[in-house]
Amino acid sequence: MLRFIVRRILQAIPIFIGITAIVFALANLAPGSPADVVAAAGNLPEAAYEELKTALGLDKPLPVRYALWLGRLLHGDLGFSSNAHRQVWDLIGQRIGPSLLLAGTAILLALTVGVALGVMAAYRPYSRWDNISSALSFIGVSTPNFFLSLLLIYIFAVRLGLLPAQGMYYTGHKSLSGLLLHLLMPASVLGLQMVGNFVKQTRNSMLTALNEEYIKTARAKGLGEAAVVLRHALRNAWIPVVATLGMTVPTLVGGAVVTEQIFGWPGIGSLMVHSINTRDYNTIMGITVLVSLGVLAVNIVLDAVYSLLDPRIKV
Amino acid sequence: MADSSQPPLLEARNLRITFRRGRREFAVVEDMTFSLAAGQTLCLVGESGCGKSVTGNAVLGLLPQGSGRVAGGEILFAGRDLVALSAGEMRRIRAGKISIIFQDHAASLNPAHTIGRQLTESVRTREKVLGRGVSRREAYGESLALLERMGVTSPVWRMRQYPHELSGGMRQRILIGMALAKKPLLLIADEPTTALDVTVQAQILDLMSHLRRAMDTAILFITHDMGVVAEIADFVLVMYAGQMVEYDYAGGIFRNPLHPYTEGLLRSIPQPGRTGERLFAIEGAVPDLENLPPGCRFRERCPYGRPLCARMPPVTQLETKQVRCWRFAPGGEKIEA
Amino acid sequence: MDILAVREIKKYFFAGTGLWGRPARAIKAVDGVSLTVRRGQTAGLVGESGCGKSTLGRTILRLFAPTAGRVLLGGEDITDYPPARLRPLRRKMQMIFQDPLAALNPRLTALAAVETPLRSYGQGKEERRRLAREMLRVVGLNASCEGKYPHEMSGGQRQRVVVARAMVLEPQFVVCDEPVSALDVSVRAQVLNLLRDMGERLGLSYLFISHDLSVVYYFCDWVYVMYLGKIVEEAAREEIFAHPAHPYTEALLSAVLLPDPGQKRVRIILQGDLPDPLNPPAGCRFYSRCPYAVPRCEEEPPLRELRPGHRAACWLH
Repeated sequence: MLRFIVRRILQAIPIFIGITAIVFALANLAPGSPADVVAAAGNLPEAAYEELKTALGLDKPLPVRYALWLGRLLHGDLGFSSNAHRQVWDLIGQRIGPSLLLAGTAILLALTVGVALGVMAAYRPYSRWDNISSALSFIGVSTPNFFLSLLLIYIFAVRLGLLPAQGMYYTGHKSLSGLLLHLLMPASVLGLQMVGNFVKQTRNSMLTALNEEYIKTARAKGLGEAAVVLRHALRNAWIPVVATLGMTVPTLVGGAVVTEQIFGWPGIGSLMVHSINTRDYNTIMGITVLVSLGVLAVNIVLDAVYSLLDPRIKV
Repeated sequence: MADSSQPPLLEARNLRITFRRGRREFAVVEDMTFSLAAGQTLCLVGESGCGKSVTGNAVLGLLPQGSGRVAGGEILFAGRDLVALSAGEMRRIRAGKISIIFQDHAASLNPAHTIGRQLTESVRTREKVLGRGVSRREAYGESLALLERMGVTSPVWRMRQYPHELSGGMRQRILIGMALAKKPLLLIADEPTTALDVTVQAQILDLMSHLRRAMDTAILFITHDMGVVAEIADFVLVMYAGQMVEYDYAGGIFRNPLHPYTEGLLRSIPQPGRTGERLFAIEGAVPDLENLPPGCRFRERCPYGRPLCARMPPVTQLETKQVRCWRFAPGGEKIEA
Repeated sequence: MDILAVREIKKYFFAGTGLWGRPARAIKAVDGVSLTVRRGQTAGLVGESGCGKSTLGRTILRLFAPTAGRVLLGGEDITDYPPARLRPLRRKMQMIFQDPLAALNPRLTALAAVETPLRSYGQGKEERRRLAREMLRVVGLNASCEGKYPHEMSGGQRQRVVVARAMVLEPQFVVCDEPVSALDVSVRAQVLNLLRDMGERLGLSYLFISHDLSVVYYFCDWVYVMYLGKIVEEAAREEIFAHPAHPYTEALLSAVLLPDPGQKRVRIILQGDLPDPLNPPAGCRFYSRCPYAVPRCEEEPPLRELRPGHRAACWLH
């Protein structure tokens, strides 16, 4: 097991370098630079503009800049935000908590609802439950999340006034109930986007599992249907669902950018949008490092979890 | 039929089982009547699709959900009709009265649970359904003792292993152990040795006959292999295309097969010692159960076929034997003439 | 004259990977097997699952590349032939598999399945069709079967198509890998008779792989018994059935169940299972299950000639 994890980490290093190189190139090749952003804000003399570019290291060729950035990264230095005039580490540190909370709630929501619907759909295929859950997952997958966000805001915040539309807490006081109320809509939007995958995967693998001979063995033991379905079928049907989870994380990151922006959620996603607008290279790269490390780590962990769930898989 | 000295433990009367495909429903087992007394072994013999496994599964209500059902007749177990039982009552039968072992030992064990967990689950379910309690420790001890009785080597270690870590013979021993954990009055064995190697098959058959003598369990043994039948059967019921064609003592089936299908089946088996000569072969193939021709179902493959066979032959009782063939039906000749 | 001669052939598979992806352990599926098939005769290869008999069959046909050893087909050493040179020879050597449903392409009709192999060998379309039709008749399938897909046919019909597909190329040598094991009892005899008729008609030589000794007895002239990657005994059919020398052969024979309840024989019941091929026991590989094991068995017994043509690998003899 330890060997497997070490090997996977070694394999992840070139992937990680590839991701950061591509994002670095794309960010830097986009028209405009931090110096241009400053220049656009006020009248900057030509000499000062050049000086600023040198100060920001923008006069060197792209590969050199990437190498320098990578070198600093190895020392744990993500650099200085050209926009917020603070360490990128600080910026991210401030935003990571809310983002993890939102993403975690969304996954939990999607997984619970998705697996429950999938199990019911598979137990009685082509029943009403099956139809409802496939309709729900279809809507979730096919509705753009900005549209859904706006729809929810319109219904629950504007018309019914039940839920707050913006931010993380009510202004003035931080309370848990306030946090939960603020969390409900953005987490539902993010979760609904993923729920379809979980429903479909759970339904398929449950259908397979329920047709296995060991299910007949379990029934023949005299077990009740709940034990047969949960203890014997779902235990095996879980495994492909975990795989889906690994593939969902990148989607989640993309969805979070939009959702956080719309709901004014003070997370990484809205920081990302802001840094891109201001060509804040170091912050963009900092977030990229964080997200790609996160996705790689989640996948390594899930592969390890796999072998715990399915004893036939040896790592 | 043959033996009436003991009251039957299991009795099927005019059993009819149907499957549904789309909107069509067709019979896969028809007009099956047989009985089995305590401590005896009845073999259901036939080819794939003849309805032998379906019959075995129907006893425990294990027909495929939604498509298979008992459409007529009764399955009496100690006098109670199993077909009419509620789900809860059927669970009680499954947990403590009747066990079943399936052919595919690799698929019959849950790959995600240890052997120990699956064995103790059987013990605990039995006690729970009977309204008694059993501690984990007691269930573990009983399971361990079962493994020892099944001739499983290093049982303590096996309890912690997963099914894929065991050989086929070991898995089949564990499945038999799981079945016997319920101390059943009746064991349904659905081709339990077909997927095993010949030397392992010999081990398992040996184990089963030992256990049968020790526990006095009745066995409904389902197989296609006449060699296995000769080894273990007290009574034999030969099935063809969903019907009983011949039913007798084992000796009567092997020494005096009357139905042309039984006769052909026995003659077509290659045996060491008989060489050179061409094998006898039953020509043709089993009819499609969804499009059965009227009359005798073996008619198209039968060397004795005659016009009368276009009508369904009745079951004729001849001393110990029952046979479904016009050649032995009283008045068969007359009707034809 | 031998149609096939195999000399000291080995086929290892490599399992598991080390830290840098190098194979960690070798499974010696076939570990130094020599056998010959005489022209027009049938050699039987008997053993239980996992003994390497199917791997051996596939290695002989060069479906697997052998790890070591030589394969001679009709006296020609084909071991090192590249695929291009092997291709014209494939016509002479064919294989019949156990599961006809898996061996047939589900999207080809019976006629198309039999016609397809001819495409590689340059006949015109009309000619191919004619040959395929003819072969379907020979194996006992009438015109109504020509347009059927595998799922529309019975098990016996499917295996007839598989036989026709192999025979349409008029091979000289055919490997049959458990050809009747997946078939129903009443159909087995049909297919065995068909294989025998085809053998006589085309002057074929067979290597017949099976776990079923009674079928081997019916079908084969010469019998090889394989255990854990090695041949443990070989002899002519009558000889091996009358005087089995290796304890494993003896146990296999005694495990054959005859359809005759009166004929109860003394049965040798082997203990335990086939050892793990990753860690075969040192010395005689049958040592762990052998009822006659003696200390000497810790040394590996060679395959020695007991009587002319009868060889066994056991210290008892």
